[in-house]
Amino acid sequence: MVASKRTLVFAILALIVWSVTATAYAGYYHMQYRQLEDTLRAMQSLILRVNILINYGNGTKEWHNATLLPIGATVFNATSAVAEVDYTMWGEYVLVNSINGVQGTPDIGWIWWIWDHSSSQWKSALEASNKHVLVDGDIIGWNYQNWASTSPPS
Amino acid sequence: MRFQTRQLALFCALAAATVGIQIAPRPPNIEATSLTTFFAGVLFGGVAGGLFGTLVMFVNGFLSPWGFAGLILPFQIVGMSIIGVAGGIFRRYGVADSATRTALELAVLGSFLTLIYDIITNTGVALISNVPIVLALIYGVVFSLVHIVSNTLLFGFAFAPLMKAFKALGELKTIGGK
Repeated sequence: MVASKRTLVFAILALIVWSVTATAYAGYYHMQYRQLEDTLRAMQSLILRVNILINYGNGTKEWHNATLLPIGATVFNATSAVAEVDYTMWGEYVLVNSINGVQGTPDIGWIWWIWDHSSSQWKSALEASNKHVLVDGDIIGWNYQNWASTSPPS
Repeated sequence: MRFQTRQLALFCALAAATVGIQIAPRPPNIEATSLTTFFAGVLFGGVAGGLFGTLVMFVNGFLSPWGFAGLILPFQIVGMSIIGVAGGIFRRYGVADSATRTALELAVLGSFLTLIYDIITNTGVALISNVPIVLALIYGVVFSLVHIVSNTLLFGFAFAPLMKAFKALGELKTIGGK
């Protein structure tokens, strides 16, 4: 076989291998991408996103935005997901003693609030943090404050 | 195709060695059978190379560490036979003048023949599992890539030493007049 013709034959064979495998791999990548998209879509109906504020009362504030939680998660679950929480059970109700090591005292402690989207202001909690089930888009705030104080997180 | 006793013994020894390597524990899709089948084609001609591939894959179908091949076996046999026949065709055209060029050509041939083998076996999987052939090829592409890359390297690096060894044995005098 003439050298140039031989080179051409092997070049064509190499190109065939490259084009077929590259096309198949692109197809594989596309399928994987589609599968992940489907999984994500299915997961989105099972998760909720909430924003969580932890206000330490000394000017330090932590925002944990778009925290992903399973459907049915409570304020307590959400807080435990983003911070170290020490708590005491009072029957079936949770009392939060400390968040990230900041301990409550007889005068000051952790009180949680929820943002009311309709009135655009914080509303105080009327139940234990493990009893309030969150919905997608909720914003909750933990305030380290005097037990008698009614000032919301700012 | 007419074997002398010595050639027949060599054919059987090569087949036995190939089966032995093939059924030994190894990572999936990394194998030396394609190379030895191709080499059998170079040594004994295309028809014998095809038979070599048939024999090796038939035995492998029952003894493979990955289990009984089942309905995929005929497709494996056809794929490997084509590699053996290709060895016989390559023998006619001979090796290139330089060692580097020979290695490159063999690497390309290894990748191409492995691709053909994988297309045939994946088509078999598609027909047996009743899935579209294109889908079977796409889903098998990761295994195929491993197979193609390993055989590209094996053909590129191992063919020349194999050829040299058999030339030293006096079994391979010329390939395509060289």
